Amino acid sequence: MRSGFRYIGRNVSQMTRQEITEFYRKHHRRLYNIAWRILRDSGQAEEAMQDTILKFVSEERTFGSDAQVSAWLARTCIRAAIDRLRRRQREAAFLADYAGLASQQDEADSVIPGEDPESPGPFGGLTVDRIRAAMDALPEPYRLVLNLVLVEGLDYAEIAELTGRKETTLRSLYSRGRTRLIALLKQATI
Amino acid sequence: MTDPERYIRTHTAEFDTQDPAPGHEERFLARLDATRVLSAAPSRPARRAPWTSWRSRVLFPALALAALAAAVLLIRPGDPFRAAGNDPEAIYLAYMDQVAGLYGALPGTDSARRDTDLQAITEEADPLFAQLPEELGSRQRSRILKAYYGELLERARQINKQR
Repeated sequence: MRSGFRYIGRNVSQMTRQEITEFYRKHHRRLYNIAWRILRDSGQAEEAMQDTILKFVSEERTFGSDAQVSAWLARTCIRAAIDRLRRRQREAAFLADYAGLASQQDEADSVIPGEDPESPGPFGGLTVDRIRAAMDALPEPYRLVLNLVLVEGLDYAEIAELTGRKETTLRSLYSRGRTRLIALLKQATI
Repeated sequence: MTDPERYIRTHTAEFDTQDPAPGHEERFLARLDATRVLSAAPSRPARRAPWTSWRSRVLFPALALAALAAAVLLIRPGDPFRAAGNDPEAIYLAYMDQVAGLYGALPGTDSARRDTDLQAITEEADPLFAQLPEELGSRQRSRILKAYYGELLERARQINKQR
């Protein structure tokens, strides 16, 4: 069963093409989803995922465990996705100016599609699909922080390092985002 | 009642439901191969005589033919920016060449007025080429520049036709 872990304890830049292909098959889906949750764009998420794996296999270093590899990949992918997100926001702002279009940023009042109204409890029956739809309806900064805290399991210090935002700001964004998420989930059950 | 936060934290793996578009692995391997070819390339060319390598006899001519075929297929005749590719600076220089050609193209009467009209259309106080931010990437900048300068050239040609 060592075949999947042949890169552990080795300089990963020495991996063969076959090993890299196996490595890609093992990790691509998780990384793609990490990037997709941040970017919500298939092409850009694929680029961020592939950039991450290409960066990994060109690293002149060794990793001690699969968990260490997973953590490195997740953080690198999040960083790559956030970089793209910022670039996209700058481009959108520029193109809006260029085309003379008014900025239409605030999607704060978006409503998620209605779900099973007869489900029990104040949130109805919670499902991954319902929560994902509610999170997708959140404005950008809230969605990003909720995703990184709840789904990726990062702490505020790590997110601050990745996003360049202060921890206090992140806590505030998380708190407001959580309130909005709960409101959206309740709203969907009415 | 189920707490949404607790629910998300205990179901994180289930949030990974998206799949990349078909062909992603092939695209990755192509990128991998390109990266490895670049990193494996020697910083100095080998001193081997070119005719001793089979590459020089078979591969290079084949690549040259492929490039020629691609050029024939992809480059549209009459496109003033065809040689510029996706290089914003080359597009701007090609545009300037075309403008210079327009000034020189026409004789005729009332050339002073024609020149004024051409100048009004084609001269930029602050060229768009210099204003586009690098963050857009060369392909996107090229697309914008080709559309913009192509439009200016078209209008400038109309002036020449009217004279």
